[in-house]
Formats: sequence, structure tokens, C-alpha cells
Amino acid sequence: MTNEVHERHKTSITTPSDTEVRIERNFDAPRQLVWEAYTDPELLPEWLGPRELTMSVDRFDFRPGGSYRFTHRDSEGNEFVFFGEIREVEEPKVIVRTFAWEGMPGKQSVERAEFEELDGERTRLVVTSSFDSKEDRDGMLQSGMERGVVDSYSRLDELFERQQAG
Amino acid sequence: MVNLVVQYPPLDRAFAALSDPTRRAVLERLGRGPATISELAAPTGMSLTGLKKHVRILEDAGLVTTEKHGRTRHCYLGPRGLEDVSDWVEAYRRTWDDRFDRLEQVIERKRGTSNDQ
Repeated sequence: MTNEVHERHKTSITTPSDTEVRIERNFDAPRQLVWEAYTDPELLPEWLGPRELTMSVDRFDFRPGGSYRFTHRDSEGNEFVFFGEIREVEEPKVIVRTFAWEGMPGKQSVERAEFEELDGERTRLVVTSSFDSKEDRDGMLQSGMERGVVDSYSRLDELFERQQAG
Repeated sequence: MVNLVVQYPPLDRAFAALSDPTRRAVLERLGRGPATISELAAPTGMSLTGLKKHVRILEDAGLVTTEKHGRTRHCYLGPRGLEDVSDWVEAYRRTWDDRFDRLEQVIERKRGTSNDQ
């Protein structure tokens, strides 16, 4: 355990156009380290999947033209499969990939992750998702709403547990 | 002036915050991405202190969030959205916020491992 106090960074969201969503966050770590954590398939289940689901990485061929496939499973055995194609890899700066959900055939977005070096010890990560239409974007955002609420509740639960333990 | 605004319920506070052209310009600028106080002040010709007051009012109304990095203060839109698209935009933001919290833990752990080598 460490007593070091980290300032918690904020995640900001903007909608640069009707068909895009942009997420941004700073990390107190060198760019190479952020890149490695972000792209390591073995580590993906620890941070990418929603907390209440277990996530498995079925395929992660991390090179331009390669494909990936993730499955999220809930406690009742329901499966949610996400897949896409890696379009660009420019280590340690840019990853562009497509993102689709089997539950919405024919719909996909293009997700661009940019790793910006602020100084040797800090990195800004910007993830921009582009959709085919405003309807697609809004539909995707709305479908994630419930998940966001569940996630924030589970965070609250953790906070309560920590307080009780302390 | 600030005290008067604070008595209003949050939504009215947001409307009051939006009633000023400088503050609307600040929101418009932040809609294109985060900015520092001096970046926000530059196009208005206003002093840093003057602009900070406006940012503070926007912050009280939940329209702007700020974060201090050393000596500069970075401003972001949110948590409340302009057209109350905010409900789902904010939920999406929280999903990523939570993801990035966990990514940060992964990074810290990796850093620990590489330091031990």
C-alpha cells in the first residue's frame, strides 16, 4: 500500500460535431506506458469491460488490417459480442479501429485513440468516435446510459465499503 | 451578484449563467475542447481575474468543470450539458471515466513492475 495521494483526473466529453463524441483524460504516466496498458490484450478485461460483466478477448490481432472480437457475459449467461477491424497503428501515438456490436447489425463507428505527450511524465488520451449519422451516435450513447449508471453505483458501493473498512 | 444567483435552484442558476454573452462565448469555446483560463480570456480582451469570475459562475451552475494543473487551471464543459442532452452524454462520460480509472490502476501496476526490474 502507498500513502501517496494522487490527484484524480477528470474525464471530459464533448461533441465536436453531430456525428462525433470526443472523450479526453490525462494520465500521470509516460506515453509509452499508457500505450502499453491500453493495447495489451491480457489487460483489456481489467478496464475496458463494464464492471458487472465478465469480459473475454476472443481475438485481438493488433496490426493494420487485423481484427478483434470481445465477448461480455452477464451472470445469467447472456453474451454481448463486440468486434471490429484495426485500421491504423502508429506506436505510441495513434490507434484507429472500427467498433460494432452484434446486437445492431450493419452499424459501426470508427474510434480514433490519440496519445499525446504532455511532458515526459504526463500523457493526454483522446478517444474520438465517429458515427455514420447523428441518429446512430445518439442511439449508441443512449444505449450506454444504463450501464453508466450501474457503473457509478458500483463505484459508490466500493466507496461505502472502504469507509466501513476504515 | 453571485449570492443572488446561488439562491436559485440549479436549473435557474444555469439559465442565469447563460444570460451573459461572455459566459456564452466561454461555453461555445469549451464545446470545441478544453481550454485554460488564459486561452479563454485572450479573445475576450478581459483580465484573467475578470474571466475567472465568469468561469466560477458557470462552475456553480454545473456547466463547467475546472481542474488545476500546477499553476494553470483547465476548464471543461460539464457535468451539466447545455441542452440537457446531458443525461445520456453524462452517463457515457461516466462509463469512460470509470474505464479510465481502472486503466490508471493498470498503468500504476505496470509502472511498479517495471521499477522493480
